[in-house]
Amino acid sequence: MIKALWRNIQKDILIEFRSRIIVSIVLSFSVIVTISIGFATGGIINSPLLHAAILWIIIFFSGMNTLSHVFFREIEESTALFGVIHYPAVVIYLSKLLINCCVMVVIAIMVIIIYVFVISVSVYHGIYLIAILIAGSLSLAFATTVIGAIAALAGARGGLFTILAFPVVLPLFTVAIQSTARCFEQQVFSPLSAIIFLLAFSMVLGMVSYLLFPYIWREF
Amino acid sequence: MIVILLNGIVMMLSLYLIYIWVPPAAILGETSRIVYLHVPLAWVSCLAFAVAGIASLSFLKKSKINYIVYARSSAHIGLFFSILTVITGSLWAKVMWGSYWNWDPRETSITLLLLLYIAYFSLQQIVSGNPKAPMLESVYLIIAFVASPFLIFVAPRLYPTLHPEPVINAQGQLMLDTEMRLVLAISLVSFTLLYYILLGLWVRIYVLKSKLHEE
Amino acid sequence: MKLYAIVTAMQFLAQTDSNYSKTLFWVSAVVWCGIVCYLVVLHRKIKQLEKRVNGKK
Repeated sequence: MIKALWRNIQKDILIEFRSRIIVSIVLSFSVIVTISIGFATGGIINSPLLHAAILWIIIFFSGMNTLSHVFFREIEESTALFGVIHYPAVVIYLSKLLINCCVMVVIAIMVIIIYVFVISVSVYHGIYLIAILIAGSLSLAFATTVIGAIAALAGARGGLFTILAFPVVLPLFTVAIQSTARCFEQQVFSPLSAIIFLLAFSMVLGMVSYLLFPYIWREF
Repeated sequence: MIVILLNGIVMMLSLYLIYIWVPPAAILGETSRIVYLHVPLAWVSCLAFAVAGIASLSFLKKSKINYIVYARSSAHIGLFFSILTVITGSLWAKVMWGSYWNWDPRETSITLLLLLYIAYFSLQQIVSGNPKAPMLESVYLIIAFVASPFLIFVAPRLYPTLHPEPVINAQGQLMLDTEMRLVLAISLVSFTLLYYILLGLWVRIYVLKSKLHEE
Repeated sequence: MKLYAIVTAMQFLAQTDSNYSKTLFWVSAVVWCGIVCYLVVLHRKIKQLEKRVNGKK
């Protein structure tokens, strides 16, 4: 199973390396949105909560553009049936989940670098911020992988994925925004409860998705 | 028929108790009577969602299309009752807290339940006619069902809320007078019976629709 | 409709303060009107579908 998992991951990385669709979409989207906000506000936003909210909105919508791409590509290029014949559905799920986790972490790091560069924000607790960004983006990936599969199987490439994913990820959004805001404040705080919540949320949804994925990814 | 009659009697009794018998609460005044409507509406929204989730789980386990019918019917009722909960809560909030919408975590959590229902119906619309529709709908409902306790129970407890603390509190105790507890319980029972009747009506609608399609 | 009329009457009986009572009235009106209309709509839909099913037979 590990070999099959690794082969699937290699395949997806190779396809992405050749086409560079995900990277270009994410980069363009985050740069455009951050610069637009910078233009609109003059680069000056006084509220840490507003900084956190904007940051997570950019990360979320960058994710929404890319997280379902791995499944859409399989269905549009008709490779889904091939995958189902040769590998168990859980292998396909785990490979897509790992890809999505990597993509989300890369998105979060790219977005925070662009954001800090374009908009003047003072980060008082850098390590906590990185930890919360990583925990939050992993949560997003865990929560939305199977929803991406549902959107791909429904054949609706437009906003369906965002409509389906948004209510499910809102609890993690709330916690991530509140705790990220505290990283932009001088007061000392402990992000442990937020990180535990985010990881617990991702574990619970990851487990449920792992059990449910074989039911939807079987006949093409 | 017996259930309808029973519900009629319990509903009339709860109306009398809510509007005439129970005394107004100490701080909330006459508007406290809204609690006996608002709380059962919120309860039915959550109950409908839970039933839809359990029906979806049963469908995945047993693959009988009846369960999907129950899930869809329950979701329809849940959507209706969540809309009523949001409207009644907003009207009450206007008097108590000065504005229709206050971003109170409990207000937000019931609205998010509404969003989940809307997302579910969007999915249903898009996949109607697709042979995989029942499976996709069930899987989505189960994921939403698993994510919703974080929304409804955990998030309101993480941050301060405007909702009345003497009623809903950290000790998990219902700090109401005996009379109020009784009226709330009867109101909850009457709305639960109403939900049961509505569920029966929606299931009948789906059965008739499927008969029409067969012919 | 009868139910709604009864509720409205009870509302006026219970009022002591006009602002609170007005809110209570509107909240109750929304709830009971909503439920009654919902029941009527569902009932009509069932009747329509039954007619169509029996008509096809």
